[in-house]
Amino acid sequence: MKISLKGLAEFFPQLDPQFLLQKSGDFKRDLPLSGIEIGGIRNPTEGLEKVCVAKILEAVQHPKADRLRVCKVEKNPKEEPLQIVCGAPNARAGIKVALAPVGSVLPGNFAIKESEIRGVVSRGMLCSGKELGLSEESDGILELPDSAQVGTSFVSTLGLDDQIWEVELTPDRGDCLSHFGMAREIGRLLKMTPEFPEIENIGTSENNSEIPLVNVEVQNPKACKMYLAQLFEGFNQKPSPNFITSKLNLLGIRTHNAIVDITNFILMELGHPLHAFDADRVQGRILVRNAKLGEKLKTLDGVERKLSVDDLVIADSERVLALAGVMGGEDSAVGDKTTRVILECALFDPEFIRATAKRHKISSDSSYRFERGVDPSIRFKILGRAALLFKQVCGARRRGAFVDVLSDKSNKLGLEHEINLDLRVFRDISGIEAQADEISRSFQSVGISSQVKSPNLVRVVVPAHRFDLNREVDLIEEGARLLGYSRIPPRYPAQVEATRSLTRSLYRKGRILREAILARGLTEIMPYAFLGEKEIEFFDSDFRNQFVDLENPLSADWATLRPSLCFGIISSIKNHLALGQMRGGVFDLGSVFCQNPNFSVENRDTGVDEFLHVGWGLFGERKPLHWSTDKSSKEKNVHVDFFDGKSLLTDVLFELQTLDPRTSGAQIQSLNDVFQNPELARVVPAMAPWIPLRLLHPGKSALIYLAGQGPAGVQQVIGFLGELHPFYAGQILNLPTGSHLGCVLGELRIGAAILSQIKELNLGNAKILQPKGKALPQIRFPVVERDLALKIPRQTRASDLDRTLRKVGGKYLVSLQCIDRFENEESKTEGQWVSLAFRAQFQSTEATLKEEEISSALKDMIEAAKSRHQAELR
Amino acid sequence: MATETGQKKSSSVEELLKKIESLSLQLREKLKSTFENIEQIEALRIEWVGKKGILTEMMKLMGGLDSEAKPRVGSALQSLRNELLQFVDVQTQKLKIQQFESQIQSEKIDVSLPERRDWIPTFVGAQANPMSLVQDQLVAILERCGFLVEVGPEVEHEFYNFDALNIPPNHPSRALQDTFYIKGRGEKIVLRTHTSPVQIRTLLNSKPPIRMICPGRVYRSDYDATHSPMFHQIEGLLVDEKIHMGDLIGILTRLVSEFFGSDLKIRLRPSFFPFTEPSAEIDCECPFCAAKGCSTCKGSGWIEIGGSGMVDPEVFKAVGWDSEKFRGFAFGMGIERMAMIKFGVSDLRSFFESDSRFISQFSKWRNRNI
Repeated sequence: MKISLKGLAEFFPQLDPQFLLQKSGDFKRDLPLSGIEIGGIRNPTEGLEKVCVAKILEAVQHPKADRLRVCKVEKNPKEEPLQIVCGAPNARAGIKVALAPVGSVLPGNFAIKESEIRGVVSRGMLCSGKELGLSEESDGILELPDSAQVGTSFVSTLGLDDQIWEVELTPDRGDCLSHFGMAREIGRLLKMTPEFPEIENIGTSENNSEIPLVNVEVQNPKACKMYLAQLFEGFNQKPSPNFITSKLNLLGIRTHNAIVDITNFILMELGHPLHAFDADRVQGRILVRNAKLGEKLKTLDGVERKLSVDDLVIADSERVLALAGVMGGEDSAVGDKTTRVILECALFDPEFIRATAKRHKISSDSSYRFERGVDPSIRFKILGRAALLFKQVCGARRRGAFVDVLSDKSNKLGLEHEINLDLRVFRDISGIEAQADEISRSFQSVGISSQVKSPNLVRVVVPAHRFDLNREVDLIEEGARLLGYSRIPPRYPAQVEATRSLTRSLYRKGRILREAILARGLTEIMPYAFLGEKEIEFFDSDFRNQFVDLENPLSADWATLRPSLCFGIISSIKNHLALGQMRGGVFDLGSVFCQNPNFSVENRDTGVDEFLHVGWGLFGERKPLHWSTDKSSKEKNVHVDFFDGKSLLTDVLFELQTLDPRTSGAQIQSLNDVFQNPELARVVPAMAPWIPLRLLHPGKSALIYLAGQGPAGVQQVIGFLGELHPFYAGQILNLPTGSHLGCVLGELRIGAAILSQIKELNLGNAKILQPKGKALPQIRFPVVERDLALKIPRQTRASDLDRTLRKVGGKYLVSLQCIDRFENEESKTEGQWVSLAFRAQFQSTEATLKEEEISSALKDMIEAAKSRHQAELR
Repeated sequence: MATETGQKKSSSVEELLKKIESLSLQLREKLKSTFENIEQIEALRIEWVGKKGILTEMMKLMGGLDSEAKPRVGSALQSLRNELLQFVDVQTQKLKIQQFESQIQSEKIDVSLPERRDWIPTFVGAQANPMSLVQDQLVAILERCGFLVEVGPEVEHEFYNFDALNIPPNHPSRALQDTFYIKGRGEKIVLRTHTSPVQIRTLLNSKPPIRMICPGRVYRSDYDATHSPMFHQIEGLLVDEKIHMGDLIGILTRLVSEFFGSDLKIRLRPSFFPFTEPSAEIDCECPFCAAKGCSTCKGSGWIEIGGSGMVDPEVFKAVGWDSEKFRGFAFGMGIERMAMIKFGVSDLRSFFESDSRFISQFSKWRNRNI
């Protein structure tokens, strides 16, 4: 909200307005400390310092241009008149105008220079309101009143020496949404009480003897608490006077005609929305009712609106006149020819106004205030203020009595209410040590009357405009605010035995996994959790309905909550490549989302399951070039592949297994094998619809699953690891055609849905995150190594052979590693075999091993390999 | 054609349509055959819609038709053309993928082979995201003050995100937070707009006293240099029998002093939050100029870092706690904001653009407060 400092000064008539302007710095410092934020201060006279009042002595036609006039302008009676070329139609001899002399710089950085216009020298510019930054449009130069003194400063002549504050109020302080409201807060700093502006005394309902000439019926008393209406007649419309237009211009409000300008002026001054209807366009009585089905209204912004039956409207016997409290209708609006006006000063329910404003996407100065509270107790004064200004400016008079319809017949509307403030509670909550009389005085400083009842009790009478003060605790805040939060004594709360937080272990789970990947040197990224249809296409479309869409996304590319982390990782890789960072590794740890059809909104379920996922991606060369790299070697610029990604899988699974023993049996299965197996091909996509199967290279990718009861022994698919499908890789990473980039992605789901994990933790079923078992003793006998090369059928999985060898390798076998894999064209096509070499390490806890113990173990291993895997020793 | 009479024209229109009809039968028959490679598909395309294709030639005849006949013939031809082009697209895509099939089969690997561990990172030090780095530091400091971490879901029911926090529907403070709603759930289910729903979940599931913090992601539908649709907050809640606003200042002073690494004062400024009363904005002395005034604090010597206040009795009421007996304070701050102040980063969006070169520079700040 914009506030003019000079506007504030009007409520303190005994003060020189200049004094307030000088104190502005203090206000800017002190007001935020009592909860009123000042966003910015604008000086409207900026650029107008050199503009002065001048008089046109003579205006003649420009010899070479029809539309221009050459004026002789008096700036200083003692100096030679200035010659100025002017294009305004109203430039004529005798009027007083605003002159921007050569050397001045007008708002918008518009420098005035001596120039020649079509051969005639021009020394300065005669200004329009627009050029001076006073109005948005103008149709000629600004004409100043004849009383203005030639040569004096334009700014002081028009009283523009002002400051405009952008005040940022919290939604509870509706009472400050006017100059008068702000004056109460400033009054506290000045130790003065603001005075209400001059009004015409219109009396109150009780002493109202005339007969009203307006008939009002409120059909929805819940939505309209009060409706005060008065007929005015005899408007002789002239343009609004300067004190109104300049104020509205400074506050950024467009001027229309004197009637509308006056209602806006009062809105800014006192904070109560008013609406003026052209009385000649109102047929019969005024109805405050809900809109009927199919009714329409063309509002003042020119928009034809279809009304909802939940909209509150002002209507006459024929049609809808206005959207109550939000915006008037074009049809009944006052215009330049209006002579009779029905003025509305009403109070509408905040909820209704909010719903209507939201429905029609309008936020007007009026709706904004009704939503935050409007004080009905001063309605007669508001009407009186309007009556005075209508009379002074337009010569209009009240006709008949006003109508004051109240929904609460007991007339409690806008009454003050009393609240007791217990000083002990005040001290307990705020920590501020203050005596009753001090607190009482501070309430009085903003016009809240209060009385000390006892040393520990203050009775506070809350005025109707303080919508935010309803409970004792509200008064505690108000008291603390007025005394100053600086009086709160800092202290450190006594340490107590803390409650045990179990979900902490859920948080630590993520942290442990993050640390494991950070240790490998990958970069942690945090992409947005939104996807678009372009990405969604890579998931199995049969399960599209399991994804969670947003009702109001920022854009179509961000319309769905991510079901998987992989597209964030891909887009990060793409960005790296676009910036010329051709190798790297990134990972992400965060929530993914999918629908959970079994939910009840009444039980406060969301119907959305959230899972913690960890995902990673490596791309480009496996190693940066090093000075010691053999530049002729093939290894020089090899790109990452599946097995580089697999080392991260191992790291994550290692941590996961200590956190959750159920994951220790995680298996890995080639995607190609899954697709070849009809049963798996059918059920696996349904088990993990979040895996973008189409994106993966079937021959170089794998699914990670927990074995158990389920189709083909798959109990749960928990993740994937793989290279990109060669068909999509170029497109999705935006690679130049024909170029290759190694890229491997992996992702794992960590446990059950987050909420069910929390639930389990709260039930106390969760285990503390510590691994089981004891550490093994240190072995003090040497290790013996043996290598072993085996030729096995191509389809045999290396891990199966590995498992067999370990099983039969005896108790001394402490390590077994596959150290070579060999195949060639011939072995691929004809023999269908591969050769694998293993290095076995043997060690005993009791003694140095003997040769026969080792060879016996090796023999067992070879035998088992032969019998179970048709292996041959090479 | 243009010189022919009207009579002939109308008969030629019927003839044309008949011809198109028979062409479409002919084409559909063709589409039933199997196409083994992209060349065959391309040949089909050229035969029908190439420069001298069958349909292209038909199109050329349209010039002589009158305005009534044109759309009839035109739309018949166009739909036939679209049918063909769509077929060509789908088949080409299919064949292209199939072409990869042999490549895929020949590249097939044994995924059970052991992994390789010689990928070398580009940068030195652990490359934690500045958001998780700052979050870790704030959590570590507060854990030393006895606060324990709680977590909650990011998709929330309005009860936890709004109602229980004294933010009724249609209240202006609900409108202040640009909320993302989940499709198909009315306005009941939201992406949480703050971490405060975790306060409610914790109050509902625990007994006093409480000292909890909740770091996490939150969402608001706003996007520019100072607003991100996804960002992070950390929230603290302490509930006990004798707690006042001074305790809040005490904890916050510890927090900022350890986080910024110098003794900084805290200033509370009156404000409004529906779930606290009294409410306060948190200012801390500017860490860059020792509160003397600089460009970071715009000369004021103070920097706003978050919001806080004493738990509103309405919140206790919503979770069934005795607001006469228990008092508490809550505070929350934006992790991005803390990071921007600490690291002097001016564009919030940098944190989400996932550029490892940008992120790598923060490793020197890691673990300095833990």
